[in-house]
Amino acid sequence: MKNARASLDWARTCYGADLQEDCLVVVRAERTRSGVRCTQVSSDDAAFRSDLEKGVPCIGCVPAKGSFVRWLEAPFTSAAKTKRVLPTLLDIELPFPLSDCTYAFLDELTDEEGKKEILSVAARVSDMDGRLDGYRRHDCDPMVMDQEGLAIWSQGLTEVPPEGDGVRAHLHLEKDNATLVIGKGSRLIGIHALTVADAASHAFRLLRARFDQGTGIQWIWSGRDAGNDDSVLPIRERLADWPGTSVTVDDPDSFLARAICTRALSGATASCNLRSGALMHGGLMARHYRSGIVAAVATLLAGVALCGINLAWRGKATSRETSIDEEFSRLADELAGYHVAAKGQHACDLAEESVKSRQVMLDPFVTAFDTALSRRLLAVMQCGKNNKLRYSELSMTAGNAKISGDSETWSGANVLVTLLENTGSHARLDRQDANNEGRIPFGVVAEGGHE
Amino acid sequence: MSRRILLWSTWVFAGIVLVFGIVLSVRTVQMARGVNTRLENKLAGLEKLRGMRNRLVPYELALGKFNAMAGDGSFSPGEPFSRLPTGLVPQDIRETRKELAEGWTVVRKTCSFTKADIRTVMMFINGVESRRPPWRLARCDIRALTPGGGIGYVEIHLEALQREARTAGAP
Repeated sequence: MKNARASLDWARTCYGADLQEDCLVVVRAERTRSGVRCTQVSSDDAAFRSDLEKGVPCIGCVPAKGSFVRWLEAPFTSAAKTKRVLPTLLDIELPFPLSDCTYAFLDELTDEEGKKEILSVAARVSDMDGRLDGYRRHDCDPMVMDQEGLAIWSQGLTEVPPEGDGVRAHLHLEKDNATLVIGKGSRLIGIHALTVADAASHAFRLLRARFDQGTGIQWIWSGRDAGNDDSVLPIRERLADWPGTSVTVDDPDSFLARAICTRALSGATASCNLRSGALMHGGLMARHYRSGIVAAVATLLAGVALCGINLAWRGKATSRETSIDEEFSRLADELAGYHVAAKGQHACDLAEESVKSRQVMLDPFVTAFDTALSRRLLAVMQCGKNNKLRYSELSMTAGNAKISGDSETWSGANVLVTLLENTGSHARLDRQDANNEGRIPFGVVAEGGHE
Repeated sequence: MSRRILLWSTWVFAGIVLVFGIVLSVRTVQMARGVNTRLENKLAGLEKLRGMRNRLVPYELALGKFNAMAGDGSFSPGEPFSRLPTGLVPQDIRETRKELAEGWTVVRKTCSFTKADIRTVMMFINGVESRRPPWRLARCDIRALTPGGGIGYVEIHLEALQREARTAGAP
């Protein structure tokens, strides 16, 4: 769908300008926390002119008689397919080629049967040019061109809420023309341009074609002539067949100007900007260009950041790997005592070999003050004395011991085994039957004791 | 028109850079797995080497201690069997030497006694080990003449470290 929303998300203030036959009705709208605050200003107001020069957006509208609003029935459930055929469907609806028009597709509605309808709005480029020229004659160049009927309908819903799902008819009366907007509840049905002279009978025909006589209608009146009884009363009399409540909006003169700027600031769903494509306002074009450039630069920065992060990570990984390699080589060389050209496990094996031979070489320095063997020997001697063991042979080194002798009892040598095992040895005890002295010969072999 | 071209070219350039960044990211993620495994292996190897170095530390410290004791001069533990207790007569004294690092030699003296009082031998060993620099008992073989009699054949192996004085220019 054509990107033709009129919402000015970025603006805090804007002006709505309703171009009438003889004058320009201007309303200044400001976005506030509670919504949009509107104030009518004169078209000659110095602040208005100054703001226009400063680039504050001005919103105009194309009249109902110079534009078309249609509900198009979507032939497909697929949004993508529907999007492709919508211009063709609109082309069929229009009395002139779509290529001569500026158009937009707005709201989507799905009815109870699942049928999808899309609100479309179009205006001839030549009519748009004429309308813009009209604005320019008042030194005003609207940034956004809304559609009159849509603006009337949505502002009417805001100022005069609908009475349930009943029929609503909003008559906007200007000096020379009128616009009738018909809907049901909050759903827009149609927008019709009327001439003031023939407004009553034209509206009568339109309503009779759609609604039975006697159907209750909520009547809303706005526009410059809404407060003029000479204009309103004949119409009311003619349309008496459709009774119902009748409300004239507050400040009806500025209703349309109020409607278009409120829609632009509040981002109403059916808001539109028919000033698009070749007709686009220079300021809006520059804004689109700026936002496009900002998005492109942001994308560029994201890409650069992505590349930078990746390259930095790779660099860091490589430098970490290099530093590990250097440390590895340095340590391997240091341990081996020569330059180790090998890498990885082979280098570790070479280093291990060198470390072991160095350990063997330096072992006497470590054990130089170690008196463990003499202490063990003394303990073994003391154990023999205390437990009445008689040793016949004894051979002890730092790690091993081999002792043979005899004991008074069968279990007498157990204490010797316990003593040797307490020093970390794995001791094995062999005993034989008692000898002719009645003593039990034994042999103890201990291995793997403390150095 | 120039604005449109500038915008279009910025988008094209940004797109190329972004795509390049994405491709680079994908390749980096693929590469990261291999790099992590390689780094883990290398770190494991490095840890192994550090472990080896730590194992050597007490050995190097002990060597350093002896080097400090010796200074630049010679280092001799003396003769262990020069003052033997009364009644302890050596039958045989043998000496072996083994070269170690940095000019040091380990000297092993083996002495055998026949009919020696084992208690006296033990006292002798205690005395020799308490000297500084020490001799230490490396092996002891005893064969009793009569079981439990306290007299027998004894062979003791004593070890000590020794260094000749360093000559100038020696490593």
